[in-house]
Amino acid sequence: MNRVVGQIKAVDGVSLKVKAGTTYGIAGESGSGKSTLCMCVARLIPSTAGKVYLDGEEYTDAKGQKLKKLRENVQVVFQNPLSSLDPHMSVKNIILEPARALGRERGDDDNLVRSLLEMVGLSPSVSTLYPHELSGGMSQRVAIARALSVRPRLIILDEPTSALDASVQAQVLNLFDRLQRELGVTYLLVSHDLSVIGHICDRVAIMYSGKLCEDGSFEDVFYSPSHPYTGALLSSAHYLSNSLVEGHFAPKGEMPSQRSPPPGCMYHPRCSFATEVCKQSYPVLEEDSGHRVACHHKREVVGVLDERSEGTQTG
Amino acid sequence: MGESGSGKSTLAYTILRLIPSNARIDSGKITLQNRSVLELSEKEMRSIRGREVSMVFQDPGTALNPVFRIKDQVLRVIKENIGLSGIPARQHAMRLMAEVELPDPAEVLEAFPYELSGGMQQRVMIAMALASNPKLIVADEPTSAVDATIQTQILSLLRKLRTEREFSMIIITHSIAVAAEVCDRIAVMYAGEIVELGEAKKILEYPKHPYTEGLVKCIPKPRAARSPKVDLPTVPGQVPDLTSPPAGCRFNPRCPYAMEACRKERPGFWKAGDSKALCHLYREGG
Repeated sequence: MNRVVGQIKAVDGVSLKVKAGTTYGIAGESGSGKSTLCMCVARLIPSTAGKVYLDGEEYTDAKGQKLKKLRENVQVVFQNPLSSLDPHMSVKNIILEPARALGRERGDDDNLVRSLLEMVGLSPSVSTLYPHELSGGMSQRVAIARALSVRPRLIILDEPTSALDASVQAQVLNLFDRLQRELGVTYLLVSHDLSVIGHICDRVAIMYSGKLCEDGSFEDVFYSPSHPYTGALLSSAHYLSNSLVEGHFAPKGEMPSQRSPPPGCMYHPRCSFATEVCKQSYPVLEEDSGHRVACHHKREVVGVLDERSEGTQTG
Repeated sequence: MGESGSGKSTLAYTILRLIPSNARIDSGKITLQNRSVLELSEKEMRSIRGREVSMVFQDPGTALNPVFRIKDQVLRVIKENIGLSGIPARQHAMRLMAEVELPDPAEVLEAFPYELSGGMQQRVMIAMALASNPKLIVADEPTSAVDATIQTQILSLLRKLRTEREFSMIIITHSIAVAAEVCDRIAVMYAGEIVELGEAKKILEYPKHPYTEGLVKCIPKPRAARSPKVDLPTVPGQVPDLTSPPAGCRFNPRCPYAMEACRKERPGFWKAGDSKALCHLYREGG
C-alpha cells in the first residue's frame, strides 16, 4: 500500500533553449536537479509539467514512432561507464544496441562499429572485448561511440568525466570537442566541476535545489557572475591559476532537505548576502541581454566581484 | 598523489601494514617515530592502528556500517582505542562531533548513516579518526565522494584540525589540485614509483618530472573571455601494465622528452630544482 506524504520538486521552473551545434552546461551539486532535468529532456523519466521541443517540434508526450524519433536524436552518456555498459555484452553489441532497438540496423554492422571506434580513438580490436576488460577511459569512449551510433542531434553528457583520472579526462574532453567540430553535434553537459564547464561550454546554467540561479553565456556567468551560489561554485573549482572569486562566497552548511525547503530563496540559509527579504520572498528570474539571474542582491554580488577582479589575471 | 594504478593507496596502506594476503613487502624501511614498523609484531601493529595512527577511509557511504547508528560506531571506536565507556565516552563523542563542525551533534549521533549527507558522513569518519588523538592520520581520497562546495569545506576542516591538533597527515588523492590545496609536500606517483617529491606549491608551479608537468597542464580551466576553445594538452597513451612494465624509465613511452637513456636505464631520484625527480633529465653531473 502506498500513501503519498508529500512531494519534492526535483526540478522547479527551469526553462532552457539550446542552440544546435553548441554546448550548454548545467552546473550544480548533488540534489540540484540537473541530472533529473536531463533525464526529463531525454524522456527517460516523465516530467509532471513542462514541454520538450526539438527543432520546434514538441516531443513531450511522444509515443511509438515519434518517441523512437526522439531517441534517435537525443542520446545520453552517463557518469559511470562501469554501470552504464552491460557487462554481458561485447563492445560490438553494446555499440549496436541503440540502432537495433530503434530498428535502424543496416546490415553493415562491422563497418559501422569499426568507424565508430575509430571516431572515438579506439582500435577496432576493442570490439570483441567485454566491459570488465576495459579501462575507465576506454569504457567511456565506448559509451560515446554507442551514443553516436544513431547520429543524434543532441547528446546529453551527465558528469561524463567525473569518474576518470585527470589525464584521461583531458583526452575525453578533447574528443568531445573534436566530435562537435566534425559532426556538429549539440551537447547538454551536466557537471559539478566548473573547470570542465568553463573549458567547453558556450552557455551555462547554474542550478540549486531544483531551481535556476543564474543562466547566460560563458562570459556572463564566469566573468560577471551575479548569483552568490555561482560565486561559491567558482571559488570551489580547483583552479591552478588565480581564482576569479574567493572567500566571500563560501557557503555555510549544506543543501537543505527538499522535503521542507526554507521559505523564500532556497539558497538563503547558506548565503552570506542573505537578508530579510531573501527569507520571505522567492527572487524572480530577471533577464538582461540573455543573462538571467534570480537573486534579490544581485547588484551587490556584481559589485563585490568587480572590486575583487581589478588586477586579477584572466585566462 | 597519483592516478589509478599508481600505487598510492597501496603505499599508504602498507605504512599501516594493511596489505592484501597476496602481497608481500620485499624490502625497505618504514619508520614511525624512530621505531621500525616492519619489525613490529601484529599485536604491536594493532596497538598502533586506530591509536597513534588512524585512517579516514574512502567513501564513507561504504565505510560506515549501515545497520548501526552513528553513536554505536563512534562509541565503539572510542572504547577500543582509548578505553572510555559510559558517560565519559559519550562526552568525548559529542566533543568530537562538534570539533568536525557537525551542526547538531546529538542528532547526528542518533542517526543512521543513510540519514546523513555525504559531507556529514565524511565528517563523522574524520571524527572517528581523531578519537584517539593520533600523531598521524592517513586519509584515503577524503573528498572524492562529495561535491565541489563540500570538498572545499572538508579540506579546510582538515587544515584547521591539523593546525589545532598538530598531527601529521598523509592524504591519498588522484587530484593534484586537492593535494595542492591542503598539503605542504606532494609525492607524485606513477606506475608504482614516486616520480617527484617536493613542496606542494613548487611542484604545481614548477613541475620537474614530465609526468607531473603533463598532469598539471591537462587540468581543464575556464577559458579567457571571448577566446576560442582549444584542446587540452594531454599525456598521450595509457598507464603501463605493471606485470610487464616498460624497460628503463616506466614513463618513457609517454614522455615528450624521452631520450635513448630513458629506454634503457632506470633513472635515479635526483635533485631537480627544489624538488627531486625520478628522471634522466636531472641526471647528476649531466
